[in-house]
Amino acid sequence: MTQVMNNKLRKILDGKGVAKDLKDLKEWSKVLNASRCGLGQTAANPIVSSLKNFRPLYEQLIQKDTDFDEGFDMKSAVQASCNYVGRVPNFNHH
Amino acid sequence: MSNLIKFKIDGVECMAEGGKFIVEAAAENGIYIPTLCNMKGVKPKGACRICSVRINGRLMTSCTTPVTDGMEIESESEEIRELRRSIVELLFVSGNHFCPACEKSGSCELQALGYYYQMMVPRFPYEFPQKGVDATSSKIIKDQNRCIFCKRCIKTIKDEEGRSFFAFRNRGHRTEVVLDPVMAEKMDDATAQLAMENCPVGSILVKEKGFDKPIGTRKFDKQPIGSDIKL
Repeated sequence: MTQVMNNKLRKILDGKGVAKDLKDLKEWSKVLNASRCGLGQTAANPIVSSLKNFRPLYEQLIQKDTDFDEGFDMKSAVQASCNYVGRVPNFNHH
Repeated sequence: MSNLIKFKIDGVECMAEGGKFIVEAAAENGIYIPTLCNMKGVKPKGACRICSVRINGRLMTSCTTPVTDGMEIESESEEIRELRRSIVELLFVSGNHFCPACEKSGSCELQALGYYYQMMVPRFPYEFPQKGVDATSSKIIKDQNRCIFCKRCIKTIKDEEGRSFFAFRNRGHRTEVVLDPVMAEKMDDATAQLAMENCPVGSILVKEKGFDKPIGTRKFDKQPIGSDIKL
């Protein structure tokens, strides 16, 4: 779980987060309450309390105009692959 | 049957012998609490957290907590169901569990729990960790992609002198359950078969034994997990 949340936090820090990611972090931290030891049970506390107290800082980092970040630009990927095999991309067709 | 005590699970009056673990006591009363790392007759570990229940406002694992008189246990509330479902999803995410191609599909407890909680797709992003398959032993294939670190093989598969065939290697997220290469050479067929059966997932496989049960006769083909306990 800590690994999953760490990946999510990195996504937000990389500027690829959206509003749902903040909600997910808060929701997912509840799973750690069932952890076996105190270390696990408190592992999510830095994220939860910083989300609670420094929410504007998180909100500066996330993208506001979109609900979903695919982390992938189709157009540039098609262009790159076309360059590689020496074809002309047809963007109007799709 | 002298020291019978009364306790409640989700408001249902239950009776069991005092000192029994909650999972067993609930099973005697026809209430199924899902488990992964727990095994009958083996000292419980409480590692998988699937059997978490709420007692007095605290989350406890029911495989390691003995019942006491008048205990009120909350096991099937929406919150606990959601917690268990997310633990199953986490296990699917943190390994590489490709059920359709797995030799243990249909007899796998993790897969059965996925069906039991009607999991369609994990809510967490897949991690696709890089893990290997150890097939150096003559009897057993150890597929690290599917291992969920329940420690059942370490606890149950031992030689006549009480030494374990399996052991943990490394720490943290690099932990692996490995087979001792020297002891593996002395492993007999019955022990290898037992190791495969005791593994809740398809991480331990006996060589040349995959897909030996046809579809329809596998462990969880007709009945979902826990239906032997449920009233």
